[in-house]
Amino acid sequence: MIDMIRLTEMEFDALKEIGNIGAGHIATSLSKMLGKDVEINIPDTRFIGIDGFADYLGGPERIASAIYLRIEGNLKGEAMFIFPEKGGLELIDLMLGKPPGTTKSIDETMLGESAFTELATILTSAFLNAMSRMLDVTILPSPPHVATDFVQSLVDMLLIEVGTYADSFLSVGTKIEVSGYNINGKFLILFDRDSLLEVLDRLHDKFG
Amino acid sequence: MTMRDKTELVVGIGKIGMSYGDTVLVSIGLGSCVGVALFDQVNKVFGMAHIMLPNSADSHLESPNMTILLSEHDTSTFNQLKDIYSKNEFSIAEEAHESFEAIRKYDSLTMGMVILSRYLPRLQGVETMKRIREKDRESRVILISPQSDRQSVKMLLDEGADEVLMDPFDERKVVEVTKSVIFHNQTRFADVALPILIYKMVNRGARIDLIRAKIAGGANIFSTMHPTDIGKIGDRNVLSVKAQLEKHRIRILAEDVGMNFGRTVRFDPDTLMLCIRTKNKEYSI
Repeated sequence: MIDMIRLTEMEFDALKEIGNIGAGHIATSLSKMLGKDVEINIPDTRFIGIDGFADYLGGPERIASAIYLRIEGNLKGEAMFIFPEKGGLELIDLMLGKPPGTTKSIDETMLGESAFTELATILTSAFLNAMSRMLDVTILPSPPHVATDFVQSLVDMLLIEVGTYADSFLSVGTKIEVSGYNINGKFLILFDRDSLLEVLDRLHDKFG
Repeated sequence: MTMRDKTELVVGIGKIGMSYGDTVLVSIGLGSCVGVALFDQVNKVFGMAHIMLPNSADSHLESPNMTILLSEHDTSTFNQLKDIYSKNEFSIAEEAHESFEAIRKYDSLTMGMVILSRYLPRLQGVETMKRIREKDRESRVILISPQSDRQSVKMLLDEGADEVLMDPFDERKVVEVTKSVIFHNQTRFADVALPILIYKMVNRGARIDLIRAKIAGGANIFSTMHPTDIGKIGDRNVLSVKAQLEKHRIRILAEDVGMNFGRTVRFDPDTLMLCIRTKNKEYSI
């Protein structure tokens, strides 16, 4: 078992740096997509306990929309975009060029869901590309899956892997806030156990 | 009194919880997790497990150390317990016969597991437990109580004991109850959580043949996922829960499992109904 709490400060900083660079790329991509100059670069990499994860994402019984995808390639893990329901809907409005409050439910139109998925795919790629350049690895996102439900129900999926070996885990990610809009979500990556070791190895090779 | 007015005990992800009928047991936002409500309505003992994973064979968690500190002044009681533990793969790392010896020897344990007589000379069991907890908040303590009635068990648990062993001892109960404390951080697995919950309920006065179950959860939230292992984790959780209940011959009176939506469940000990809330509806089974 890896005791993840015993990362050195340097390793933790390096992992945070991955988050920072990825967050920067997400910010740039989102700005381009929305055609707006938006301030959304808030890196957020931290250790979280399994029992505190839902609270970190706004509370277990809050309704949110999420996109889940597996990461394959040299590094394996899972990624999730998660937006409180209202924020997710405003994001769709913004993408579709409609006034905020137009879309009432994410699955009311196929357009909403596909816009949401499209956004997630592009932003995930932005993050993963930055990471693969930095670490010199191939990382491939699997097709994304969308759901709107209780936060705890959505994150159960992320906890399956980590639950077999630890009580807490490292979440590498970023907050996503669009100023002037009620959009505040999170993007995060959980590496599989062996992949986290691989990431640390590569960080050591790169930065000594 | 309606359910809304009662105290609630929220059973967190991967945890178990119990009530004597004064508390509504709750599991919030079950996705692929399964909520299991167990109840013996005759003896008024109720339990809930919030199962996260099907099988501890998949576990890479550090396996718990089975060593304990046994503190008991009565030689015959001491020997009986020592006998049971040696026969069942536990090892007695340290022995103590009065409170200060127990507190002193606690420091040499690799895993903080202590068994204390309720009437340990000098400080008694409860006070000794409190002093040990001052040294180590994470310490696990089982108190030995002679011929306990349910009230005194409840009192000792309220004082903070993890479990209570009752003298005269039943070998199987001693083993299961001790294991339940040692394996407390592995209750995320169905095959660990349910035996532990069942024996904890029995230790609180339930009769195993009177226990019944209602279960909910085990959904596949991201319903477009391929039915790979990870996508089917909800189904696997449900299967494992059912296998455990069958093994202990506990009948399932109602179930609401699978599908693609999350569920918050509340078990009301007065009506024996499991109230289920989803993102857009509410119903009871």
